[in-house]
Amino acid sequence: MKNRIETNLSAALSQMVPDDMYERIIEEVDSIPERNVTPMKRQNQNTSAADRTRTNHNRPLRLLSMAVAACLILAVGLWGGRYYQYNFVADSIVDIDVNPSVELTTNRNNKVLEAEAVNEDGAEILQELNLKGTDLNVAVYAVIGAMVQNGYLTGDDGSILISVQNDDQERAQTVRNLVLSDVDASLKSSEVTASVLNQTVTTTTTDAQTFADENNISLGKAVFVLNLASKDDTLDANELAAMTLKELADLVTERGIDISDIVDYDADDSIWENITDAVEEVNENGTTTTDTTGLITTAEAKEIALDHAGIAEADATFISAKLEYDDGIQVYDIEFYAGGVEYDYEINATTGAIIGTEQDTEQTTTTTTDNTTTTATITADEAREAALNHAGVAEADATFTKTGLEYDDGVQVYDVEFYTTDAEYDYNINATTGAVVNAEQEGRKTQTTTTTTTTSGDTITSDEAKTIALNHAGISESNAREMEVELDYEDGIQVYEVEFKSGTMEYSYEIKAADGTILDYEQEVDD
Amino acid sequence: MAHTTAAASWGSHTHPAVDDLLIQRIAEGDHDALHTLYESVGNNVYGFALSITKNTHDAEDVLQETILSVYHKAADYQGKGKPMAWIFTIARNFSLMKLREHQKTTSLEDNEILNSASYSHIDSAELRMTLQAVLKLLDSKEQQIVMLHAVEGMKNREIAEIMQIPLNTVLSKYHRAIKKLRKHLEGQIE
Repeated sequence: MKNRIETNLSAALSQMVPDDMYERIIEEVDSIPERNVTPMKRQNQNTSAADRTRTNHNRPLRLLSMAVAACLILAVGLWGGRYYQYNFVADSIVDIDVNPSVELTTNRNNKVLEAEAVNEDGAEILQELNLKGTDLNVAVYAVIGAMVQNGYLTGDDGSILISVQNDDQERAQTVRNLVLSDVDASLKSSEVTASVLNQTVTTTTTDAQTFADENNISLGKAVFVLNLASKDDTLDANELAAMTLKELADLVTERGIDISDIVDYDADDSIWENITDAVEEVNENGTTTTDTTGLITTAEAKEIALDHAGIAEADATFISAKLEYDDGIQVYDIEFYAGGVEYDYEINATTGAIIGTEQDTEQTTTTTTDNTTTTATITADEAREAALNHAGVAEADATFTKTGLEYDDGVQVYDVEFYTTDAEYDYNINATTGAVVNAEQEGRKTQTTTTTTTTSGDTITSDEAKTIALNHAGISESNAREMEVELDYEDGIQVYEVEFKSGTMEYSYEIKAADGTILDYEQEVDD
Repeated sequence: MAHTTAAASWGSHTHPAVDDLLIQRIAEGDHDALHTLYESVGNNVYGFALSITKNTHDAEDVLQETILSVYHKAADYQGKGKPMAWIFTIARNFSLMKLREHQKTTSLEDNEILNSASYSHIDSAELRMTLQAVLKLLDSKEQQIVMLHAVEGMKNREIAEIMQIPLNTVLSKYHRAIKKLRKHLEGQIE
């Protein structure tokens, strides 16, 4: 229901926005090469918004993120060796974006391999920190701490975006949860609160493959070039792609670039031999990826999965649909939700045959713009239900104002807040067991539960507040209409807001809930 | 009517245009869907950004970045029936980012970009006065609430979620803001 002010406001705003704004947006949409690809590729490249924004303005950074993908391919495709996988090889990329943006590259043991500033403010933050080789939790703690110290996070309105990139979705979630708890701990110790948005990002070989296709070079060379470009900001991947391997080797020698972390380096061989070996190895192991003809499309794979599950596309929410290698066979990994159930299908990308299927009723949603982590074993719905049961309130009577996962003394709990027409409830529900850890109830007229800890003992009821207001206005209850009584917090004090009309007048009162004092009142002609 | 009752304003807004399906279509690269989204919420995203950044250039940037971000992230959107909360949370984050950029370079007091010339595009005096009143009379939180409330289909609960403040605060601040605006505008309009 819009009033005239809002209607006018919207109309005024529509005249403020430049007429060509939408054209400008569409131009931007069309100018990004990877947006012109098929939906399949787009879904695979679900990089973060922050990445995208950077992408729009800064090509080297886009290449950097591609290189990161390439790094991951190297890690998986080239070296099975544990030594590499666990120590030198990038496993996850953790982006911390406030305004300063910092990117931490970690190995499987959660050690920081690289800490890079994504913008100038990020550089300021990293200047005072030496994070290389530290544990991820130490690094995250330090970065957030430095952001607070430098005034980027103050008070309670800050927001932080955490993006974790890892090919392995499960691993990405694990790392994300670690990072989130570290962010939380650091914020707490700095006495700052901020909303923490988080997302996991999976990368695929498509980036390197696209790059290879665009430049007419092999996947192996593409991977190497992207990795090399990521090591030195002055190098342009497209220019590198045009160079021969020998020229690349000369460049590496000339600039003294250490490539031991991007190729399986053999010190006995020359740099050129090392590069050649690395490129060949990718090409040998990855040749089939260069040929995507003859494969079914992602859309077809989705359809096969939906058909099998007996679910209409409109009812399903896709989590991911990606082309992967499984034992040397190209498969589509299709994940979606429908009706509270998570489905996971593996579909042979050549034949369309269903190789594997999993269903999981337990919601482990990967929310992209949600500050909840997802390790909890009970769902937010279940937590709400537990709170309602405890409070003896029917779901229809409750208005939820918050359901969020939090840590309470190291235990994950759901903070569930809701209110009914006459009371406000605040519950902490153990996220693993569903037990009520803490219950608070405020402003209820009659106490119906005895197990809750309540702070309402000394406050007046809403009826009393109403009476105080009516008495002050000199109006009998029968003459008042459109009576509204709301319990609110004003600067930390519980206040009843009593509003009603009588005759042509409108009355508005603020009454202190603790003792019934009238804090403020207004009378005006009802328009 | 001075104001609606709280009960009437909860859940009574429905907007057929912006829903999970629209986001899904955007995820599939449907430009028509993106255009529908822009037409439905573009002005309000701009207004909301303006209430935070107090700067028309920033508000334009935020609008652009938000729509682009929705386009790029639509595939990641987890349909929870709250696309509005999702979109405006993105807008809020971009706005706060802008605000911080400026806090680094200029103090907010020197921010004179929002002067009377800013409103010169608006051809009707009534509309101009309304927007000016919102931006001058209300504090930033009140402005944000009114801007969000003006979005077709926005629920108070979603406003609370976007702004990360309790629902009751949204309701009481909204009532107060509208009252203030009425009082101010009464003398000027009509």
